[in-house]
Amino acid sequence: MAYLAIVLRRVVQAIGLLAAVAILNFTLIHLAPGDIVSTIVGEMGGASEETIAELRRAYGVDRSYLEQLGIYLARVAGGDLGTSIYYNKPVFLLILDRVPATVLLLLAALTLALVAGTALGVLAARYPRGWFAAAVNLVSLFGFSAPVFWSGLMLLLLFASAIPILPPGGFYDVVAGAQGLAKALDIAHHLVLPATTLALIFLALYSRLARASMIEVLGSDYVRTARAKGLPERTVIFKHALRNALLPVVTVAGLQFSAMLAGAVLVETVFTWPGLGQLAFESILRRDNQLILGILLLSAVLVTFGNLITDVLYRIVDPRIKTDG
Amino acid sequence: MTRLLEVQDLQVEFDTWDGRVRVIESLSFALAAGETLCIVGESGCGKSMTALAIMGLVPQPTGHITAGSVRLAGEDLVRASPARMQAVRGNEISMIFQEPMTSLNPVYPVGEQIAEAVRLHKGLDRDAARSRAVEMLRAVHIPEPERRVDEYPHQFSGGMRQRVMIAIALACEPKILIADEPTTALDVTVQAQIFELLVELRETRGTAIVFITHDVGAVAEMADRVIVMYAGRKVEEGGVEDILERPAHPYTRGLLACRPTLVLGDPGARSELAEIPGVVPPLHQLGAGCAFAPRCAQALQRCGVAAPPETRLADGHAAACWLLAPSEGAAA
Repeated sequence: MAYLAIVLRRVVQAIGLLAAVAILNFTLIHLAPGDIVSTIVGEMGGASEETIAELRRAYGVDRSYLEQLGIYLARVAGGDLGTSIYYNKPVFLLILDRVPATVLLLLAALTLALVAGTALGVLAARYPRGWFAAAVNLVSLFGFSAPVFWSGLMLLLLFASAIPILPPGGFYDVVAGAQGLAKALDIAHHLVLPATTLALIFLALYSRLARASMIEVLGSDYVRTARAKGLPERTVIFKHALRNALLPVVTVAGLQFSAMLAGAVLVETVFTWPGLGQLAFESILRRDNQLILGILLLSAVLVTFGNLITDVLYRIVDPRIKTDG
Repeated sequence: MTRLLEVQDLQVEFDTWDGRVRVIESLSFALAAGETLCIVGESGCGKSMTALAIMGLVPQPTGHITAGSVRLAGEDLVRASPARMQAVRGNEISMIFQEPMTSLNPVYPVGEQIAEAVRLHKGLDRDAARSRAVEMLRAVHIPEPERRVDEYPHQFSGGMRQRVMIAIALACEPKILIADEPTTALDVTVQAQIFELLVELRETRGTAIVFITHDVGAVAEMADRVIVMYAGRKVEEGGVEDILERPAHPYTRGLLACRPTLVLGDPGARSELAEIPGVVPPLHQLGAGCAFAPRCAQALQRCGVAAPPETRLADGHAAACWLLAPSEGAAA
C-alpha cells in the first residue's frame, strides 16, 4: 500500500513538472524573434499590411503573451496539441506516427548500452590487471569522447559502404515490401547501426561505472562472507556482487535518459530514422512552432516517465529504499 | 587428543611496494575436536591472516601461502583444489567476521543468505532450506524467526546481524568455526550476549572454535588454549590458565598488564593503565632477531641477532624467548 502511495505521489509530481515544462517551452518559443505569421509571409514572398494583420488575428498572435499562454495551456490540458502549419495535420497524430520508431531506437540503445556496458565493466573489474581491462578502458574512453554524429558517420562508412552488410538508413525496405515477421526482421536490420551509434557513448559511461562499482563491491565484507560460505565464484559475482554493483548504474541510466533522447535527435538525422528527433529537427528549421511545442512536451513526458521507471526499478533492486518517500 | 586441524610451519607473504613481506612466519598449532583455541595479539600481528589462510581466502593476487600446510583431518587444504576448498568453506570450516554491519549482503533477505549455503552444501530444496534458516535463527535466539527470516539486514541491529552471521556459519554444522574478533564492533552488553551464545552453541553442537581476539577478557571467557602472536609469529602457546596465570613471554606479560583493573570498594583507587612502549614494527623492517626485542625491557644482546627457539615450559605450555632458553640458564 505504501508502495502504491509513493508511485501515486510521483505521478502527481510528474504532472506538476510537465505543466512547468509546458509553460517554459511556450515562453521560450514566444521570446524567439519572429512568429508563425512572419514565416508564412516569408514563404508567400511578402504580403500587404491588411493580410498580415488578418493572419495575426487568425493565428491568435495579436493577443498578449499571457492570453496566448492561457489559451495554449487550456488546449493542451484538453488533449489538443494544435495543428502543424507545414503538414496541416494535428500535431498529436504527427507525433503518434513517429513515437514507435523513437521508442524502439531508445529501448534498443538503452538495452544494448546497459547489458553490454555492464558485462564489459564486470569483466574488466574481475580481471583488473589483464589486457581485457585495458582494452575496455581504451574503448570506453574512445566511445565517451567521440561525438555521436561523427561515430555514426564512421560506422555508416564502415558497415554500409566499405563492408556493406547493413543498410545505410531508413526504417525498413519500402521496395521489398515485406510483411509480418520478415518486416520485423527488416526493421531490426535497419536498427542495428543507429542503435549501436546511440548506445556507444552510454555504453562507455556504463562500462566505466560498472567497473568502478564492481571493483568496490568485490572488496566488500559481504562478498568475503559469500566466499566464506563456499559459494562458487559465479554465484559470488552474479548473485552477490552484481546486484549491488548495478545500483549506481541504474541511477545514472535513469538520469541519462534525457541525454539519450537528445542524442536520438542527432542519430535519427544521420541515419534518416523516421522518429521524433528527425521530426523535431525538421520542424525547427521550418519554424513549425505548434509541432515543436508538441514534441518538446512529449519529450518531457518520455523523460519524466523514464525517471519514474528508474525510481520504481531502484526500489526493486535495493530493498533499503522501500520505506522512505 | 585427536587433531582436527593441524597447521604446520605456515608462511604467508604479500607483494607490496616495499617488496615481498612475510606476514606469517613458520606458524604451527593444532586444534582438537570441540576445543576452543584463542589467538591473541595486537592489530597487524597476523591473527586474521591466519584465519584467512585456513579458509583459503588469502587476498588475491597479492597474497601467497609460500610454505607449510593446513591439515583438516589429515587432508592438506593448502594443496586442495579450488572446488574442494569451496566444499570445505561454509560446510566443514565456517567463519564469522568483526564487521557485522557490513558482512551481510544488503539486497537479500537474511533467510536467503542462510538458506543458500544449506542448499549448496547439503542439497536441501528451497522449502527445506528455508525451514533450516528459521531453525537457525531460532537457535541464535532471534525473536520471531518465522517473520524475521524474510527481513533484510538493514532491519537488524549490529548484535542481531552478528547472530545472523553465526546462524549462516553454523547452518551446515561445520566441525570448526573461526570467529575473527566477532564482538569488536559491538557494545559491551551485546558482546557478553554473543560470548554466551558461542559458548552455548559450542556446548550443544560440539563445534571447535578458533577465536581471534585482542581482548584478554574474551580469552578468559572462551578459551581452552591460547596462542599469543606477535608480528606474524607465535610467541607463546599454552592452556588458558598457563597463559593468564603463568605468562612466560615478556610480550604476553605486557599484554596482560594492559588490562584495566578496578579495586573493589574503592572507586577512587585506580591503578595506572599500563602499556607496552613502542609499536609493532613494519613487517618489511623486521631483522633477523626476535621481533619483540626493540620493545622488550629485558632484551639481551642476542635477542637482536637471532630469532629465539620455542622452549617447552610445561605440558602444552611453550614460549619463544631467549630468556627462557635452557642454555641461558636465567629465569625470566
